[in-house]
Amino acid sequence: MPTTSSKLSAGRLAAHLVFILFSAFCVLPFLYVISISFSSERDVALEGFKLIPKNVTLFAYKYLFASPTSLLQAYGVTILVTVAGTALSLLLTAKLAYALSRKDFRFKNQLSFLVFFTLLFNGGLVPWYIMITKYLQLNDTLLALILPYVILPWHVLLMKGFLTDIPPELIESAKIDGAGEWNVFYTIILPISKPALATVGLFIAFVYWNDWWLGMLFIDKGSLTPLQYLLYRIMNNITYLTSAVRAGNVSIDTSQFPNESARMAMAILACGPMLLAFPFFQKHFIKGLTVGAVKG
Amino acid sequence: METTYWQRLTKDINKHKGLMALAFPGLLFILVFYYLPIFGLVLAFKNYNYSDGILGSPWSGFDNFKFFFTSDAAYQVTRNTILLNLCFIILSTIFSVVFAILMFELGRKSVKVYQTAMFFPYFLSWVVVSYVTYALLNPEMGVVNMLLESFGMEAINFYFEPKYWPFILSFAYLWKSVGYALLIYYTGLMGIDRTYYEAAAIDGATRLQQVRKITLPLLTPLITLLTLLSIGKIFYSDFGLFYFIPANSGALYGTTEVIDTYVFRALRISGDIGMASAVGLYQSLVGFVLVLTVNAIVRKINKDNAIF
Amino acid sequence: MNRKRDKGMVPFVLAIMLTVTMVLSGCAGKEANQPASGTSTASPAASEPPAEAPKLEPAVLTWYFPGGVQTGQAEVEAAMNKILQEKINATIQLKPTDWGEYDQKLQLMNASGESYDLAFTANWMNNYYTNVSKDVFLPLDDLLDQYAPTIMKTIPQMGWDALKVNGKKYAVPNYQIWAKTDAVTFQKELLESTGFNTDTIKTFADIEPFLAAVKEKHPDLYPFQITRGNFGGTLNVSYGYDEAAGRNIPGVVRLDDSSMQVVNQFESEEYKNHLALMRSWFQKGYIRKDAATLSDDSADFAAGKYASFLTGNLKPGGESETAAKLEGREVKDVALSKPYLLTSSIIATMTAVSKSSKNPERAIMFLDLLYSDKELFNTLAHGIEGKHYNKLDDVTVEAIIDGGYAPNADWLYGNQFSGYYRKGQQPGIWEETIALNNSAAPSPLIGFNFDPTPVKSELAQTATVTDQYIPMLETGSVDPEKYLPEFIDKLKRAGSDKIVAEIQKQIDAWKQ
Repeated sequence: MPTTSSKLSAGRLAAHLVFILFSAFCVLPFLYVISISFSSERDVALEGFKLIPKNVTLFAYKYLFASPTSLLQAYGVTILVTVAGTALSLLLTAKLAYALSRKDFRFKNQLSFLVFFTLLFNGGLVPWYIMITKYLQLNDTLLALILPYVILPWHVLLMKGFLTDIPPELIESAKIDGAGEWNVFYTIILPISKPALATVGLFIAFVYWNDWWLGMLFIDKGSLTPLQYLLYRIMNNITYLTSAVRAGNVSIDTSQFPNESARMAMAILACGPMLLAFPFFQKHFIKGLTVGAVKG
Repeated sequence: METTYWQRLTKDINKHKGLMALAFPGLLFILVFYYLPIFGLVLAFKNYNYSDGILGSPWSGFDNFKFFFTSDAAYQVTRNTILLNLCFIILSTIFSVVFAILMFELGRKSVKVYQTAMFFPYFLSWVVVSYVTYALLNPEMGVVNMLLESFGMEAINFYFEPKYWPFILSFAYLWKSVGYALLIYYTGLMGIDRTYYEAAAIDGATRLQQVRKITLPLLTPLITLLTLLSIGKIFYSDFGLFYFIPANSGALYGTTEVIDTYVFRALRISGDIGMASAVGLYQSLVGFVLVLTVNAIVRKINKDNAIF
Repeated sequence: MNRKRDKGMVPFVLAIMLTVTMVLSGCAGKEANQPASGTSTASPAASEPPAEAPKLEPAVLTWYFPGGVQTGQAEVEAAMNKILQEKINATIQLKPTDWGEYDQKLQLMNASGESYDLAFTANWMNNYYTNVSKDVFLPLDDLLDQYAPTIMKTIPQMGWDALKVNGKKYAVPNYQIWAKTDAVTFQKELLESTGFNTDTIKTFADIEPFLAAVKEKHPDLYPFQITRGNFGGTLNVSYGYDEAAGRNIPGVVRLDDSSMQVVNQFESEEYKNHLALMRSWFQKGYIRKDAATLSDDSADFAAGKYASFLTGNLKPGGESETAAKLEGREVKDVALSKPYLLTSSIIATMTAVSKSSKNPERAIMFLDLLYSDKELFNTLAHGIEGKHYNKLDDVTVEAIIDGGYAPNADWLYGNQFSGYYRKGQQPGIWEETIALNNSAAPSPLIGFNFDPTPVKSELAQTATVTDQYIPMLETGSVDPEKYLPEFIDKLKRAGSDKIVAEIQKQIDAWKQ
């Protein structure tokens, strides 16, 4: 630790206070969401949003779990995609970012520019869609949920930012010992950059976990529907059933229908597991495991 | 001996073939998923129809740009976009850096809790958040208004008063993004060699001095990176934030309408791809020029901090 | 901070999604779960006599329409395919696509040239005119004459007239309620408790005494619902207008004007008076204070918090449908206008054949069967008897909750009138609806479709202006004395005059 002041210094206390306050702000809306998910629709309509539900009911959840197989299947798909996707993406992103971070890499600037350029300019939805469906033929496959996000330029540049701190002497000495680039990467760089890998890995995992976009565009098959997309669909159908019909051409019975509460229940189901992933990644935020320590 | 450009290039590639091999798979994905489709940019200048496809559709010059640039609103929404985004960049950077530095002082367990808690907003979509903000701000049963009235003050019809909104939007943006940015800076802090601090402490430097002389300078590359990237996106906005949180209230447009929401409203019915593409190109170009400029400036100051 | 790639297209994408999600009517299944396994090219009961359709090769048809995926879909498809294989040696793959993405998905499929056979289209979804102008749909005239005798017999001429573009038919309309009548709906219980006599209603403003009475006797209720304003589409007919180019686009024609002069409805006297009326109601507390910014009041609606609201469209059986949405509270619809036939109401639900279809003839034959074969239609609309619904009598059915198939979407396709009645609908309303359709007076604009290309930039700009002002003005939330002139001025600067002139030009050319 950089200082030796006692744990409960005024500064520390103040810092804790600030964080508690801010964290509370961040979590509060979430509590609303949870509360509404456990309320009945009538109560939400009549009483508005409350922190503690008037009558606790599982109706919204029961509705969403009405067909458990599809929900479970969706969880399965999403978990698989997230794990596989994160692993692949993290590896390739790290490799590319590392190469770009090496100051002695002749093409560092040109390639960095190439990566960066795509952050700002993109050809739009239609050509990308055509590329994936027509030329890569990824329609309705698991790969369609994984491949498009394997390299996200933002993550590459971020990782590059983290890896730039690695002192070149470390690499020099390894190379002098006869290690090739790949060797250096796997045996030296990866272990040192655990925090960076954990952070970017977390971000990548979130991207895969939260995605419904790819599912919507490319998946027709029920068995491959990812979680967010399934929840999104359920929500859409609820919205249609319950919103007042103006054109008046339809007949639907919407009396009992969970809408607000279902929406909130979905939000919980959707991100719940991800929050559990947090600790897993946080394990690797080990302060103190630094270059200095390795230098010995 | 004279070497041609290609010969030198090949020689360089060979010299760096290890690194090239590392970079290659990533570059391949970028080529396929980003550069191959990039020709779609031409749609900004075409009158797109499906049977002719992207390449075959007839050129339409600058027609697609007309709707935006001849409108009254072009100046206003551009101004809103820039000002609000600048505000966001500055606030977000300050808050997340300060928070990261503060957090670094705390014990691991509490850090984990705070980080996780502050990440919650990231998961909520703006639609869901808008329900909560609506519950807080609406004139009928809003919590804020009830509080004001209980203190004897008059209720404010937030959705019809533009002047509160830069503040409301900034707060909402901070709320949603600080967790994410904080994590990035915290990771950056972890990469700083402990021995620097130890040496400084031995030399009698105070915490504040340590922050000023060690932490901030070493964090600067990361801050520069994130800021540069945000500048590149300065003409783009987080659509959800600007569309859902102000509840689509016409009275607020003067302050809350940004380029992305404007384009959405304008093209919602027609769904014209060419026109959307045109504005997208405008947004990209401006951001691009800005980044090049700022990057060049950064280069002059410290070559290593620049992106390229 | 992720997903940067599609940032440029996010507005556009969301445009499609949100249009549908927020604005319009819809109907989808209760159970939005995935099908067991969507594809079935061979029906399980493969024992039909092969000799039935000797000349036709087996064909697989795909049909995209908006709706939720039902768990029972595979069984329904199988049952339908049994009939189809016998009659036309084809099988159908139903591809319901969720409301929010239908537009986006179809557009991408069209752009990339993916092959499909049938798709739902209308003026408010998978826009019919846009698709025709982009050469997506197949002209169907010859195919219909050859392969669709039932359709040609059933659909009256006015239906075809409404949807022809450049003299050709590009889709098959669904035969259901076509007449448009503006009306107001009242909760019956409140009519009784306030003693209001609906016979006194001649114009929209006449409902005011009711609103005042409700405000006094039932302060916890909202007398009138008008969330975000909706003059266009729900009241314009009662004021005598037909929108020429689309919802809330400047440019209407009076329904009784055979000279078809186009005017900007927002500049009209009627509009000005309407806004003043709304403003006075808002100030008197008949309209909720947050009407302009509310995005979703469906819960309040279902809880019966609104004493009266705009009906949308008057139709036989409408009252019981509405009652179902209000947890059973009975309602009374009161017409504000005569029934009219508008292009927009006729082309509100149609099915088209894609140019990328490999079996257009078979697709048309299938559509014809939907019209002629009651069993096929009812299987699609209600599912399988005993499993998905029970017959209450010869013509009425009741859906089995959790049966797995209750799309409630028979207004999307086929001939609704040949289908069963759902529980709660009175038998006889199909005939009444047909009679209503036939008695409605056609708008002078029937069959006119506006080509937006010459003014697409002005349309985009005016769209943002209407988006901004309409919710505020039409809910009475702001003073029209100040804001209406502002609105009109902004519209003009955005090119509304040019739009009106262009509409006039096209109408005059079409009139010949």
